[in-house]
Amino acid sequence: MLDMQIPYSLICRRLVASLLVCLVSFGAHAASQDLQIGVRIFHPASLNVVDHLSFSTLAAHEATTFTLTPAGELLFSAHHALSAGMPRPARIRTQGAANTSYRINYPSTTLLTSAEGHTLLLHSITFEGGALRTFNAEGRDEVLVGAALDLATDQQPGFYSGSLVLTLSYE
Amino acid sequence: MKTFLKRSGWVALAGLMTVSPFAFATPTDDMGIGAEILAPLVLETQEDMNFGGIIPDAAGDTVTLSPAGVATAAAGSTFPNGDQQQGIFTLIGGNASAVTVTHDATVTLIRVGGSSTMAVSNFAYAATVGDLGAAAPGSVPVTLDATGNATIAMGADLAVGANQTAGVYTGTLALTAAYD
Repeated sequence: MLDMQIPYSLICRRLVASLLVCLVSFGAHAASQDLQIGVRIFHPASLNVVDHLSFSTLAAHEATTFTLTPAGELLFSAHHALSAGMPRPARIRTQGAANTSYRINYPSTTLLTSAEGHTLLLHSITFEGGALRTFNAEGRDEVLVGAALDLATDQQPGFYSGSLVLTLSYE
Repeated sequence: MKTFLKRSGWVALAGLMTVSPFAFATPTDDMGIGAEILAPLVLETQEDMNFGGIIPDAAGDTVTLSPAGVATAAAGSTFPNGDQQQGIFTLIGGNASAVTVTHDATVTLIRVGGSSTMAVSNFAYAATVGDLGAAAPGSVPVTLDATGNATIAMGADLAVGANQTAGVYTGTLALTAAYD
């Protein structure tokens, strides 16, 4: 009897070749994934001083701190101090992205100077509701600003003025 | 059936015997088979790309986000929040393998809740793990390191239109990696 038989070694080779083909086809040779890209465009923001801060006229016989609140109330620490005129807090209007938080940045102090070169220290700058704020639904906001002024015992009379640089930044 | 096959076999053999007395020798030869087994390739986004908050120049601008995550403006746009983030993706595959990552050269960002658009293009890349070949926007040849890893950071240019409508804009970049 003569049967047709496939050699064992040939079967093995075919099996190995099949396995290799299977491995190649199962191996992931490519991969994909999404990358998200985002950006937020803000309305250009603006900050405008509508009313400047004014302590009006002050007088004191001793070293005194005059505090002008954002509500416009003038307080002073000494018993013998006077004020005249109409003290007025600063009023600032801002515009920006609706319902977005922002901050008004400012220096903690500044010096007011007279024409003769004398100085007064302005400090304790206070924003009604704080310097961290939120634009309303129309992208607007308004804030009143107060501050405190230190008069020395021998403070020289005169007209004192100065300025604060306020900047707006989104939070 | 077996009997039939056996008979058929005899008939065939008989025929062969008439042709050549050597027909009983089984002709064999080795056929070479080659195969390169590749490690499965994995592409994973680690950080989405975010140009952050921009106060645009009213006349329009081109904002460039570098692969290091630094935003600069060609005109007067400013970045109030400093919340920029470069895109980062990782590749895992065969040790020291060559891979090319492809994607569209331009992506359109669409305003959420609106229809305004902005284009992101001129993608730029930097490898913090693995090596980069000569990349062109949309085609990034990468050589994985000796352990089969690569980390690629990417930036791009954002075209901000004149008086660009405020809002949040988003888009999707489909990345595909394949062995070279």
